[in-house]
Amino acid sequence: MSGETTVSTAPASATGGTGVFASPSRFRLPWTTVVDARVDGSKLPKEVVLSVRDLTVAYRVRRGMVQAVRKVSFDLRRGETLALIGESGSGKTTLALALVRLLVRAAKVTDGTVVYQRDGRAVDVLRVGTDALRHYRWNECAMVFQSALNALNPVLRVREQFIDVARAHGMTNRATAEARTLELLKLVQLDAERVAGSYPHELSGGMRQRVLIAMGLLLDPQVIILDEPTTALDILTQRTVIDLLRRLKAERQFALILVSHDLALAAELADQVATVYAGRIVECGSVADIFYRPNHPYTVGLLNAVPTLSGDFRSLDSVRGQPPDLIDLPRGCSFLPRCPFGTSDCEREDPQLVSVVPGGPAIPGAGSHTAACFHAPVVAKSFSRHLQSAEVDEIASPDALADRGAR
Amino acid sequence: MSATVASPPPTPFPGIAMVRAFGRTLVALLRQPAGAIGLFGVVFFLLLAFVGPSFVVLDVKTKLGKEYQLPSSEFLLGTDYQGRDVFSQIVHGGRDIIIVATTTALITTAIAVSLGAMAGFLGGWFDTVVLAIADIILTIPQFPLLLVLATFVRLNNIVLLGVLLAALGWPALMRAIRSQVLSLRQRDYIEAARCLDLGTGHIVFQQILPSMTGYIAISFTLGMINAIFLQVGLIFLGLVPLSGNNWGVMLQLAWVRGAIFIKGGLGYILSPVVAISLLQLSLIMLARSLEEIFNPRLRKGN
Amino acid sequence: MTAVNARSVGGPTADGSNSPLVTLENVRWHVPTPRGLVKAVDGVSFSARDGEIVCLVGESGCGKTTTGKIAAGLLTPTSGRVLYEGRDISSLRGDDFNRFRRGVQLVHQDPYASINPMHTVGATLSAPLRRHGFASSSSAARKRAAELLDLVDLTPSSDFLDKYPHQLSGGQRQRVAIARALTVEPRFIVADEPVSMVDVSIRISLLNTMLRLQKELGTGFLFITHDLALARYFAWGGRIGVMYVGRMVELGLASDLVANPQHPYTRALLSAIPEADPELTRTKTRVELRSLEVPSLLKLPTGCTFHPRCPQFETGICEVSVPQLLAPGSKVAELDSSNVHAVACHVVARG
Repeated sequence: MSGETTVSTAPASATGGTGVFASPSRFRLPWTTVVDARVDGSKLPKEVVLSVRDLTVAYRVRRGMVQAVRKVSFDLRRGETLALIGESGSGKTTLALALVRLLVRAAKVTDGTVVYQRDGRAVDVLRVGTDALRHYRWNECAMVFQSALNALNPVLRVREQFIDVARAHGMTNRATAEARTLELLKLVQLDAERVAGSYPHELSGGMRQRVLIAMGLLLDPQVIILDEPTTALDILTQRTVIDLLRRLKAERQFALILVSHDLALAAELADQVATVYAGRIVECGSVADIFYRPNHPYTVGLLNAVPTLSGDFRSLDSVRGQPPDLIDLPRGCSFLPRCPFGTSDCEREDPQLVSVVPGGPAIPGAGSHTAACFHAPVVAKSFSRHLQSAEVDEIASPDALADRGAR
Repeated sequence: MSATVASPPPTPFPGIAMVRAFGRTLVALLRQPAGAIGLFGVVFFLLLAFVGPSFVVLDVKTKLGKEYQLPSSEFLLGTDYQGRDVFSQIVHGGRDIIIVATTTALITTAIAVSLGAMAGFLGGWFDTVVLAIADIILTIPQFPLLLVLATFVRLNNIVLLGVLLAALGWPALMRAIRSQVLSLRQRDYIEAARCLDLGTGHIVFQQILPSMTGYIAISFTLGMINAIFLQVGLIFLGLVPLSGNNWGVMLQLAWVRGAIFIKGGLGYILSPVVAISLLQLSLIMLARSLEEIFNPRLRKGN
Repeated sequence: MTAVNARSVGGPTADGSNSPLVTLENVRWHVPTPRGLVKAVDGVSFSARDGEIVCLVGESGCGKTTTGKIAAGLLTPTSGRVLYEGRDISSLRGDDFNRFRRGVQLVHQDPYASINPMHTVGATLSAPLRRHGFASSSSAARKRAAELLDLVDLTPSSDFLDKYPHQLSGGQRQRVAIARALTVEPRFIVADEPVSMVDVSIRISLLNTMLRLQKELGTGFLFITHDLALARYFAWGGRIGVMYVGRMVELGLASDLVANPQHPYTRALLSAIPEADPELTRTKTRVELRSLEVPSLLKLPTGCTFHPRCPQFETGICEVSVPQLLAPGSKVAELDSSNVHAVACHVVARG
């Protein structure tokens, strides 16, 4: 990890195209500096941009070790949206922070790999050096934080903040950076000139959120992580942000990781949904799998806890009990104390994440549906989701329909 | 790198059981190096000033030929211009200083807390009047005023000196308390108490003031620090004709007698300076630690 | 997973009386600021009968919280009146005022801020019990506090009496806040976004507790929320009022209003809400607004405040006169529009 080639000397940074959709080669990760962190990517499917295996994060507090993330694995493909849903304190934000190595100092990744792949070359993010990491954080994988106000510097105009980020990551030509800033602000449907010249406090919450999304796109990353992007926004503004994200995703083909407690947001945007409980992914599948054919009692509980505008109230109820203490996890399945399906089997060991389809892939990612529950078939059978629209009939598989008809 | 670890915000020092809160504060203090040192220092000086005199006899005997001696095994801190032991003077000289400082801090805090809390909570004409008085006192430069007063009032009573210092010292703290109360009364739980019609007395004394104990403790310590500086300054300038023995008088005498120009006077002139500095340092460290304990925002690492 | 279908629909009053318990009459809250007059609430009228559930729905800045505080008597409106049992609360004195003060309580949005961190749960509940004579001794207060904790499903109550707020989760704190409101046996509780700070997975159970209180104790609720789905759930047997920058634009029975929204703003809102159902939410027809900009409270649009964004905007009327909240076919604004579906829109009113 020599750190000889710093980001600022990345080739063609100043002279590259000015378009928003300029060639990504301008911002290539300086692989030469990260030889040690390189991994054999030959086994990795080409379209996977982020491959996480057994990621474990713990941090020390006075009372003991908080097991914030436990053995999380998943594959994220280009252009795919993965939603991490779960209650507060489930570890979903820590997981996201670990992916860009922005954990608080007390927290340590104790196990696992986060392999990032671009143009057929793969690197373990957890092992790259400081320079390469800095480059990775904005140019390859950008994270947009929960609190739009806190993430922006209050004493700098929006334009300056964009240019600062651009300069720090190799775009040394001010005019180029400025032009790109305005382009991006237009892209997120803001009055670019006015917003660029504003201070953060002069903007509304929705505008700030869009500014941050634009900033995330500044260096054309392959992966964007959004932490609660619509929390604290008004409904009509939420709608604007959601529609914007959907459009940008279709145009730019970046992969998106959404961290949210809001099931509706996942339903709107996600291709894959992972339910996170007590630091683990307890279920992961396509958005239709999760919302129409859930296999984990926690997923079911979450779905049943959210009232909708058109559904009936029959099955609505909260998940009983409290989220577990991450320092002192229950024996066996960590969901057991709150689970209506629990049996003595569940006390013996924490169930592994396995495919709910016999023979299917056990690693969460496109084309797999996995759940960590000994009673998954029973849970799946018990789930009776009210049919809410005709479209549901069409997309639901014949099996699932038969299932419903039988009740 | 603002940590967005989702967890309920930490609540500062709950507990109305004052004793338990005090115990917890003590433990927290001892856990911090600065707090432990500060506390140790303050306790040391209290013992020195109040218990020490029972064991060390004040040396009043003039010893010709032994003037301005450097510290030795016979005279731990050397001797003064009359050959008297400096160490015994140091031991006996802390009492007055600490009594004045404590009196001042007590009265300052009492005035500031009661007036500040009432002005902040009641508002209206009361607030206006209190603020006006505070502003008048604040605009008058304190030290010159004390100089003038010292020429009229014979400040030979240490408690009287404390009262005088307090009479001039409360406005700054009162303003701080008032603004704290102003912000506290905006809290939802105060609104809830108003909605439940719990009464002004309950709201001020049960809901608002307990949340400020930490702040008041810090202010008390800072008040002591300020009072020590003021009185030593006054004594040093010779404006408070204090008889008897204290570090301020020692310092003044040493200065007037020109101990600074004599090689052997080093122990004599430095001893009160070091004593005052160490006491102040202990108090400052204590205040800083208290602030860190009571103000969660200053807590490192969280 | 117990069902909650045992809810009564309609049934506004427990004792059959028809006179409203709390009435807001053309209430305004105008605040002078250095930059101009902020019209946070601009002429809101509605009433709630004993035991009734009314929901105020709107986005942030629409004045719903201020309206709630005015209804709870914590803010004095700059104009307009608040009536309690038909009498203007500003004219109430002595016992009459105390009866109102205790009769209407408030539950705040943020349970982390609304409970004094220095007091135990028991102390928090005992203070009002002692003060208002609901308990004559501290042991009686403790006993009553325990009962109240049971009532809000904090069981076993002995586990909670001696806890400090920081030892409780957000949902548990909110239950304590509700129990505290119940200490003075109110007839009406203004609940300001009581579940928005509480984890999604436990919101429903909190609402269910409140619904049970409404049924068992006959307590009425003014439920303030930005979430129409929650409003629909909570107010199924009651009414929903939709607010937009200081005014109420639509008021009707919950079931009716959500199924059959009239005002263009309500329709836009309903069409914009993301739902936890991928197919449904991705295929919903959207009402397109003409502008995304929320008007500043300092410079409200003339006439109907929604007109710059309204898809049904008609020149010559919408930007000229302020539409009244009217039932279809009616010419008079109704204060006690118990069962009518009233809309403040020129275009809708014309049919």
